[in-house]
Amino acid sequence: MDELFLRTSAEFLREFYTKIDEAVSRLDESQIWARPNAASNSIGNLLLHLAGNVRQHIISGCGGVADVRTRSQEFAATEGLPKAELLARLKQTVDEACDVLANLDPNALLERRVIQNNEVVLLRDIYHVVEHFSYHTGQIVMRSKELTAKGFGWYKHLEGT
Amino acid sequence: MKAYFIELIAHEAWANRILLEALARESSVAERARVVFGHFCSAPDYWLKRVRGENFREHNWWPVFDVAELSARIDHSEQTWRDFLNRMPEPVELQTFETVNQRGDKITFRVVDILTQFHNHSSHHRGQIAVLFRAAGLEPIKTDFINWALERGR
Repeated sequence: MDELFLRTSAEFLREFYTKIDEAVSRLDESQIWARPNAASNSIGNLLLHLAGNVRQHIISGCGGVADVRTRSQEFAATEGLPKAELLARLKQTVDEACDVLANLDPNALLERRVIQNNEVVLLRDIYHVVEHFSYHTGQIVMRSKELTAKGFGWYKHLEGT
Repeated sequence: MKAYFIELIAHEAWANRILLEALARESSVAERARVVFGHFCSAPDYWLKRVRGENFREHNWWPVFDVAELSARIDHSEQTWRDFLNRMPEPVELQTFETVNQRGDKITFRVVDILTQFHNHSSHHRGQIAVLFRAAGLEPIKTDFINWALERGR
């Protein structure tokens, strides 16, 4: 299971990224940093937040690279990089994380490590990243659908199953 | 790894229950959120039908339930999936299920893929309900897996 868990986690991260890429690519630059209201995050904020979470928990927490995350900046940003750059950075982060997962010793999955100031079992922390990525993917997809009034047709293949 | 999968089922039920409790209090988001809730709460039933070899073709992906019905669905999904996993031999994750698609082609699912899929499908849509809360000026409910795990010292 251990290797299967790592491989499955990477596959799901890549799948979620693909959905984000499609959802964000159809938006214009002004829609990326627009907030629905003062209490809500923009898509730009969520892209920064996902990259920060993946880097902190997998690339640093599992891979041992120094943790340089400043989480509050992810939500404070009101403007910044264009969508192509945001997507490229998130993709780069997901690719690096998948490399870390591919090279992680499965015996380490039950180790306890301190990540984001919490002592966590690595297996649960990796799964947290996948689940967290899914959560915010849902938000980005929803916002993209609302802004463009267009669906995605991702589940058409299930019609034949 | 059976224990890990049962954790996912427990987290799923916990997250859905606390979210449903909030929906029952907040009428401003309840109507649209219940539609989303009904959708993702139907996924575990769909996959149970498939792994049990039952008729899944007419599965209703967008049922609209009231709060009491959603609560019953949460309990039912938790119980049936936990029982299903408990009866399954180890290694659970490698167990596969053969089914056919509508063209009659054989296809195979692994338990690890099914559980990871529907657990994340629920998270995807709980995230959307959080957006509805924010849009209504409400604080979203924290349903993350890591919060659930840390609260239990795991």
